[in-house]
Amino acid sequence: MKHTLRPCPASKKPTHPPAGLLWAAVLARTAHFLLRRLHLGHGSTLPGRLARALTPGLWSRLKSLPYVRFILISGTNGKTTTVHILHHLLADAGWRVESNTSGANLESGLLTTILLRLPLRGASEPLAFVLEVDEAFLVRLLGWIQPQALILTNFCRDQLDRYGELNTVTARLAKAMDALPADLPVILNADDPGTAGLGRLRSCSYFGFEAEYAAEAWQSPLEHHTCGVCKADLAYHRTYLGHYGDWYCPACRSGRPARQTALTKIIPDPDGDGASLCIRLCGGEQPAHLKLPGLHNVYNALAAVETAARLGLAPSRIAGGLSRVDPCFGRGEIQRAGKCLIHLFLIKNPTGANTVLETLSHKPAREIWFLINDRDADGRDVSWLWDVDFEGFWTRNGLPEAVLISGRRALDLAVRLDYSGLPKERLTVMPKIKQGLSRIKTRPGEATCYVLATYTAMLDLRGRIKKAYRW
Amino acid sequence: MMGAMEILIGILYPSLLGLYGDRGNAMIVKKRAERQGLIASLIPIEIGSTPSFTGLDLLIGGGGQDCEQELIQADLLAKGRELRAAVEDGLPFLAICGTYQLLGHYYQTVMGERHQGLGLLDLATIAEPHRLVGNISLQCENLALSRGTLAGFENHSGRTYLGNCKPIGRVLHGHGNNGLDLTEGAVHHHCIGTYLHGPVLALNPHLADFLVDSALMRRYGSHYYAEPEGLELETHLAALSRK
Repeated sequence: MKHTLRPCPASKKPTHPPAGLLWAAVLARTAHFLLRRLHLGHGSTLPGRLARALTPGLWSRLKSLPYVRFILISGTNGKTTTVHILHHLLADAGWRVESNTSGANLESGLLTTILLRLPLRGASEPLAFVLEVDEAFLVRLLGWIQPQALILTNFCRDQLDRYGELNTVTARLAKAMDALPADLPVILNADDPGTAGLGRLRSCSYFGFEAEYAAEAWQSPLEHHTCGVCKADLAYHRTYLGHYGDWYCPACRSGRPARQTALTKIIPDPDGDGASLCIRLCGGEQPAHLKLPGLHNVYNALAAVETAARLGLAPSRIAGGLSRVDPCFGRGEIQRAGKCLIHLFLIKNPTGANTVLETLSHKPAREIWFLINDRDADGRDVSWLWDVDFEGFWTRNGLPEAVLISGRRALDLAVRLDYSGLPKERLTVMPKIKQGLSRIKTRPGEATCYVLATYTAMLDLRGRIKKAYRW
Repeated sequence: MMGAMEILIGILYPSLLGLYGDRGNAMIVKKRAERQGLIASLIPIEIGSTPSFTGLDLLIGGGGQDCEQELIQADLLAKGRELRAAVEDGLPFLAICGTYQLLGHYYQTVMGERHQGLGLLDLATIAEPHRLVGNISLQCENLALSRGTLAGFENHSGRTYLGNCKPIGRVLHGHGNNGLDLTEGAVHHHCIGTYLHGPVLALNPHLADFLVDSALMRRYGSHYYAEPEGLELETHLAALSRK
């Protein structure tokens, strides 16, 4: 097996983790075991929090382990899927890979993943942690560890109540990136001006679209973008998806950077659940088939592909691996509840929600179930519901026959949909997710239901389906 | 009966100020007016345009990021005289977050730079690093709404201090203007400034009705009768109790 990870120390003997780390790992594992055993939750963050509180300097100890590598993925949307795809590509090429696919991407969640998966007896082979990292926490994390590669998918408005404003986040990130070694691979979305602009001051590689295909543009109050150099308003030769496109600055002539990995052709599957792609990679064209729905997932695939190429995987191997990736948590996965097939989609901000609606417009989405929560992990402010282009979706797709709304902020969405022109009699509000589920699964006949849920509501619903149907 | 009454609703800088679902407010006012048989039209007001503010019946301005605020500041100052005349003439004006701050004498950034405001309301805003974020509810004292409470979400680094200017009311839960004096917002004639951001009218339909009513009184001298009920009322009550 060949790859570009730095080799481990010459002696073939495994390196053991230092005592402090061992203790933290044992602590985290014990906590995880107890939490699961006593049904006190998923145990996806508390073990890490506990270990951190009782073991100071955990990150610097991790940094000193010669066999551990970190590949960090951040951005507003697409983190989880990009991690999922990259994990698959690397594992497919024979790497030892671990990742936090549950989406717990703050410090305690990352530490939980790492401490639960760290080989206690040490290792002689490198172990790559492919981690999605919350965009605000990433800035701090980059001060503690040095990743093997850094991937930024996009920056949109998301959970602004937590981060303050978008420009503050990207400004801090640009500063943190400046401190990274010049040869560290940084992979950026060329088509998102907010992300591509971060690469202006250092050497980065880019992915983007060059294909003649665009999603039907939804009407959304734009993500306003000004030129990072001269502050003038940006313009587009063409857009591909929302504000992703071939952008340029009319004033100072700066524009979309050259793409190392580019989508050159795309033919969506008739059912909308995937697409045949042609990807230009390392100078050659590679055909691949993606089994994930929606253009946004094509962007996620390009991010993973470019990263894999930078990490030394062969283009044909990457394309082959890509064709074998299945949908992951809340990104179009399908669950069965009784006679009902439930398609699960995670939504958390207007851009992401519009993308999911765009995906649904290829499907006969007659019944939709929305689950809207406002816990910290969802974002406590649900104002963004007003920026989702429901009106455009109804126009393109026709009004759905029935819409069910659950979750702590079900009423807020009900008001939003009422003003969007959806007749009140097609709208049912059932704040309790449990009630919603029993309504969905007790309807007569085979049926398909599309579920759009915020993060904690999705966890709740999956837990209930799992319990009821033991998959 | 005379022909259907119409109202013109101006939206300030919709392409720049629309950070948190602000466009919802315009959609809500328009729909509510139409449900009562009025003809309502939305008029976007962008940088460089020269609208007649006095000819409008209602004006709405939302929140933006700091860089967008800078873009519109100069333009809004240029429109200042017209806008002031319209507000003094009784134009209902809902100014949210960023727009609210620009109506004061100045806005001082965390770095200490001072940006001149319109001086339409006697207040000033000084930003601090720590943002005031969370659910907020208040008891209205200086607005004659059909219900005496307002609820929403606030997210601002600016601390606004009122001079000779009435607040909307007293904070029941949350931070309000500055997190210190329990005041929230400011009222001058029918100009209402507030930190209840984004689609504030979704949670407070009675505030939307107040704006439409003020608009009709100013143009036609007649009242607008609508009472929030059912889903809308339930949503307001749920928002009030949210901590």
